Amino acid sequence: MNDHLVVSDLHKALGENQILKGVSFTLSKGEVIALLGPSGSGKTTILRAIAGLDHPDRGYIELGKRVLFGGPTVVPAEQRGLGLVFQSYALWPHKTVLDNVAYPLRVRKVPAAEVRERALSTLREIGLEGMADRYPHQLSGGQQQRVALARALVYKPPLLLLDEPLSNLDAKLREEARVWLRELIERLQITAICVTHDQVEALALADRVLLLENGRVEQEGAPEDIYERPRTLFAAEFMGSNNRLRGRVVERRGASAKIAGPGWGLWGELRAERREGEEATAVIRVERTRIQQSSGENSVPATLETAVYLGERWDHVFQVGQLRVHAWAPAAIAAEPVFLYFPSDALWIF
Amino acid sequence: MERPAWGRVLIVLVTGLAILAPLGIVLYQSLLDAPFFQPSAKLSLDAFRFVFADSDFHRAMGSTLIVAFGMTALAVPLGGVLAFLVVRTDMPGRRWLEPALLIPIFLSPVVIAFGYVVALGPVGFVTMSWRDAFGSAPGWNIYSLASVTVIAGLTHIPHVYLYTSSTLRALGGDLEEAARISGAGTARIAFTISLPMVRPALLYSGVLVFFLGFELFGLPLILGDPGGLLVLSTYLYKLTNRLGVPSYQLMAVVAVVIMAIAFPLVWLQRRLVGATERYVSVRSKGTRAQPLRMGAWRWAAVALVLAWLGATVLLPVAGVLLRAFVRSWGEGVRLRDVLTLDHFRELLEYPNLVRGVVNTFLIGTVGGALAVACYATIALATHRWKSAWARALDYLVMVPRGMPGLIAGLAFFWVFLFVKPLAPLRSTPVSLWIAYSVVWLAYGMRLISSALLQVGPEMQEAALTVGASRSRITRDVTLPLIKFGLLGSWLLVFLIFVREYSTGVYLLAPGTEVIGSLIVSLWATGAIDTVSALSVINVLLVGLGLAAALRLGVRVNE
Repeated sequence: MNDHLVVSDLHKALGENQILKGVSFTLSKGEVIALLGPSGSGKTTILRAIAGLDHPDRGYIELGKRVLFGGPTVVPAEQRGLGLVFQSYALWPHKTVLDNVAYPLRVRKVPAAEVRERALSTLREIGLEGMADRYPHQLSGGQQQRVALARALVYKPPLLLLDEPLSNLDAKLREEARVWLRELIERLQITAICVTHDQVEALALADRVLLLENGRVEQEGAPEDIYERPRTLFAAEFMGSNNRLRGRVVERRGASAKIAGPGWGLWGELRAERREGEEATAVIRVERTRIQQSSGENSVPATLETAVYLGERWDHVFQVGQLRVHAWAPAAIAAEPVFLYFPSDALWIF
Repeated sequence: MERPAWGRVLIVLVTGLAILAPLGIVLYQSLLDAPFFQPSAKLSLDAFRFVFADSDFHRAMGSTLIVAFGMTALAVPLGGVLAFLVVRTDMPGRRWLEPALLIPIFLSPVVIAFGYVVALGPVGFVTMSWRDAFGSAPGWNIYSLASVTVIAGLTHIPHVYLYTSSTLRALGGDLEEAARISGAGTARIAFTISLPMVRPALLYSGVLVFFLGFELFGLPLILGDPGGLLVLSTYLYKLTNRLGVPSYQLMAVVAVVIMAIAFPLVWLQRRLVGATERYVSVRSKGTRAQPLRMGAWRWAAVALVLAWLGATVLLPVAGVLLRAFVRSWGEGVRLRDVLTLDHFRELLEYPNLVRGVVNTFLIGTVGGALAVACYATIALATHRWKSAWARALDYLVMVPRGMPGLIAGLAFFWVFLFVKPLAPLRSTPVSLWIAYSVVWLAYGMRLISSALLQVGPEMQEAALTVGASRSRITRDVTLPLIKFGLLGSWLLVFLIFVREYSTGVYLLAPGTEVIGSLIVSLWATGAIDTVSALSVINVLLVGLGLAAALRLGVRVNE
């Protein structure tokens, strides 16, 4: 495992606000990681710090054995040689697509003939060589994004940074772009860091996900790890769609515990240290919550409040005591009282 | 919403009349062979023939072109670089420098010209200090074509700066950040990214500055006289002296020539405004980009900007202040011995001068407020009104833009002569106010429009859907929301009116004196002391207005 990028103990404050409170991670060559988190979690600040556009107050950044930031060394952004795809694409409106992509090569004093050839070949790579003489405002959003990508890749940077790459695209385009981007990254064996607040984007694009909250790394791991095995309540609730049940731990049995509230009691997996009698929150993915006609173990009676049609499924909203619980089904159920079954290995207690 | 719009049509008609009457009379007069009030006057092209055969006219035209091109060549590059330095780099002091950069726009050109004569003229205090320090006279001649061009260029840098800086701001900093990531340094970014990106703004302000070159009057008047330098506007001004009799038809011809050059430029400007919008298609995220670093060049940049400010503002203002407070000046005079307040005391003895100061203040405050009210009425009437009338007004408003103040003043003077019922108004400040308001109509409308643009259509539509009538909406929704914009517009109009000098020249009569036109007429008589005292008062008024505007956070975008 050769550490291509090492980021250590980044701190940054803006006035009174501590944006980064000590973020550390490493990245191997050819790996793609996603910095995932809500707004204000500091993920864009980390990206900009690696790019050299903003400098942290404290910390260490090293790429391929070259110190970019640390101690007395501060390498300015224009000398870092990284690729950055901006959220707004930042294409220069007065230059053609070809000139936009060729610009970094011209800055590096590459001979003119070679510049044109390399820029065109990069455009070919992303499927836009027919647009070489167009201007940015003549392209669609998706095409602009690809030009921005080409510009960042044309000089074969050791690391590619992507700032919310899919957020400006509409829903349908996003699905296609997700697949296309992942395929491109794998084919060109790009090492990349992708910043996003969209968990689906993170799960689809990355080999490893860093979940950030409030300037700190909450959890780090492969996408399935983060989704199936969250280690904190925040991580559990940030991913997927969830049902949340607040109650009290009434019994403990090894790694399992029983959580109960007024009128209900359920067994689940204890994911945090909780003693008997302590208040706790149980989280379960909506897709694991089952609707049943009869009672059984780990199930509670529920009355249907309303059902919403979402196309591929129906979202049913139930009343359980004072709680609201969602459950999905392919068809609408009749409005008699039913039972909701919570598999104990899917119910996480924090 | 389709009740008869006769009220709005009326407003458009009245405005149209106020605009077309002066234009019409100038055109009419140019086609006569004698002043229009002479019964023997008949239609003829003699006036045109006379002017075009006059070698002085061609000389004046040549000089005007040289000045216009020269000042554009000077102002556009420097203004662009200045905008880049202030908006994009980490040049120290740029935050407080910004308001200072706009001061040259609001100083009266006659005051500036006068200040330069006092500072850099043959017996100017800088000239004499130079002589004392270096033994021989410095090489510059303040009364030359070159001086006029250079000073005009330097004082028009703020115009270029305004458009270029606001365009740069609208484009967001991430375009420069992308260039940094691609490996470009600050200088390269300036010349390959930032400035080319604002090419439309540079072009637009270039046309504006070139066009303003044709309107120059005070500067070439004061600096041109001793050397016999003529530009089109001063040629027109001196026509009366040449033939001894009011040769209105010749003046009208020169006015028509100037307008014939100005109108296409105004039209060109309008076409260029649209070009800027094309580039601002993808807006960047709200995050502020870090300013570009300049390293050691930072200090050179600040020094350069301060030097420009010093030369354009401090030097002439210091000159004016100095001259106003000394009893006499010349070779061998020591400053300490001659300080005095006499010039200001003398001012009080002349009723016309006192009237001038009072009128200037009144026309700025009361007149400014009334003008803003009129502009607001017109703007509100045509706001989001899709009809031929509104489009017609859009074009009408361009007309006064192409009429320099000097010509507009002359035209209104003729209108008041021609239209007998209006004659009693001629010697009251009302005539002056009408002329001012028409001359600055386009400027005032633009101020109000930008305030109105801040009010999204949903604000008014929401009121519509709950049942409010159009006039109620204007009263309850629109006006309160643009209150601050109106206040800001009033302050800017105050500054513009106080700075005015050329429009009042031909309307100058007992009762319509203002500081600007008094300076122009007194300069010819050599009453330097009085001119300097008046200039100081003018600078003071402008200073107060600017301070109030800054305090209220009014943005000075033209």
